[in-house]
Amino acid sequence: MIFNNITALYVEDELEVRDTLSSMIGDMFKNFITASNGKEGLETFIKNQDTIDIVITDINMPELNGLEMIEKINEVKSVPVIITSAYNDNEFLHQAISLGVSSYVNKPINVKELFEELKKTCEPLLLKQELETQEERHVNQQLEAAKFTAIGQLSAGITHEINTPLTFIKATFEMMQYDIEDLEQSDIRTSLLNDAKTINDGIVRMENIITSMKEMAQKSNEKKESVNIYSTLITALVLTYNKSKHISNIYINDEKFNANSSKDKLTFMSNVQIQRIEQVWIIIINNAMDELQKYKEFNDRKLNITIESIDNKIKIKFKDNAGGIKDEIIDHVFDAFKSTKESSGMGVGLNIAQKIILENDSTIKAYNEDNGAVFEIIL
Amino acid sequence: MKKIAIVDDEQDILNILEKFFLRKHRFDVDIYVNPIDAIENIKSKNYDLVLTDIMMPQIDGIELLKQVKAYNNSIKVIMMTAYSTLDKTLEAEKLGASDYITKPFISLRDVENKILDTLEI
Repeated sequence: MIFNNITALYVEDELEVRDTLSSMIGDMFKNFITASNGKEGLETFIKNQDTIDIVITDINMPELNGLEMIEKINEVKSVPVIITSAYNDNEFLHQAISLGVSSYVNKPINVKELFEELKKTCEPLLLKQELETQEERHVNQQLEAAKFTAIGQLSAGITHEINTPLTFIKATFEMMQYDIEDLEQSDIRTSLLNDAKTINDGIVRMENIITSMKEMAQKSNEKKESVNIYSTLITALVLTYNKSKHISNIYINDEKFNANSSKDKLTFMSNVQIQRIEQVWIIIINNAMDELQKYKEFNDRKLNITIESIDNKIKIKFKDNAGGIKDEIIDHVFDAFKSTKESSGMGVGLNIAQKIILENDSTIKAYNEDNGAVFEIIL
Repeated sequence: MKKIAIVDDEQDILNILEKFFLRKHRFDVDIYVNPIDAIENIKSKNYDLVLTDIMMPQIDGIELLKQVKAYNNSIKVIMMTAYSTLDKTLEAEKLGASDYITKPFISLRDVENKILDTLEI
């Protein structure tokens, strides 16, 4: 279907010729309309003038001959015409040229020749249609983008609205369980505690979905500014300290981190969205803590962060010793909903981290090294 | 017993936190659904700690934090937040908040532990 966007009108008085050609090239077109003489051809053209892109016509026909028909068609609308004719004397050709006929094919029709002429004549049409399609696609893409923004805003709103009742449902239900636990031993108490477990699982699942949606709805209109990346790392470590202090020691450039670590001890300047970048560090640190928690004892666990300048760029490496990322997910750690965690979370954290890093013209990769996972970021 | 003020525009959340702490007899808890009302009372009632939501209609938790810290810097403040206001959390940390708790809570016991940690009990 090489002319699949094109509608052709084919005018030929000889039924056999008309049918033969129709069956040979008709299917290549979007529509292949036929007429049996000049008069019918003109009427058909007028009726379908909005859709007909090209006319192929015989010359010597009853009622209205081909050239007369072209003349009338030209009065309605300018359209490329290919004529098929057995005679090719000068006078006739002059007339055809003066009518603006695009091209001419000898009779009996050599299909290959006609095909080449059609290609030549239709090329500008096909190009024009291609351009229109592209423009349409572009408009559609913009519409899609606008739709996604609207959906994003809507889901951010819904997420927030659900978060509040979820908070008190979860907390109230926790209280209810303490009340049940205080009851005297009985079948009802046992049954209630069993049911409570089911409800709890449901609440946790809803919470995970809401958390994922909240993370995905984060705004990214923050402006880039020149900041000390070392300070952002310390900020992230401070914010996660309440969790990390119970799980693992953290070292930054070989120095043990504590809540009083100075933010300005080292300077590595870069132009980034400061809060978004801090969020990336928090995601990676929290992930490392979740993994380390499953592994050995406090004193054996370690998260090593290094920051250094390489070729005008800053390289930050987070390396834990929690056994490394499993082979089956190592290629998918940044995909949404491919959680590295066994049960908690929906696995959107690293997907968001990657999104932020890309928005800040930087790179992030994950690999295993010495019995641990490494997340390496180049800013 | 340590005195705690809890500020949140959602009465249901206040009620459950109050019920939990009453039952534990761990702290002396007052709840405020209106942050302006809360600030007035914080200035006269010698609280050791304020647990406040960030997104509230009248004045937000950040403003409340500023006013509490300006009144008495030794009052500890813990922020409650949905993850989507993480930027506010970072701002709060810079303004002297001791900790933050995300909603929904991991558990009421976790809230209690954070308060105990902050009060160094």
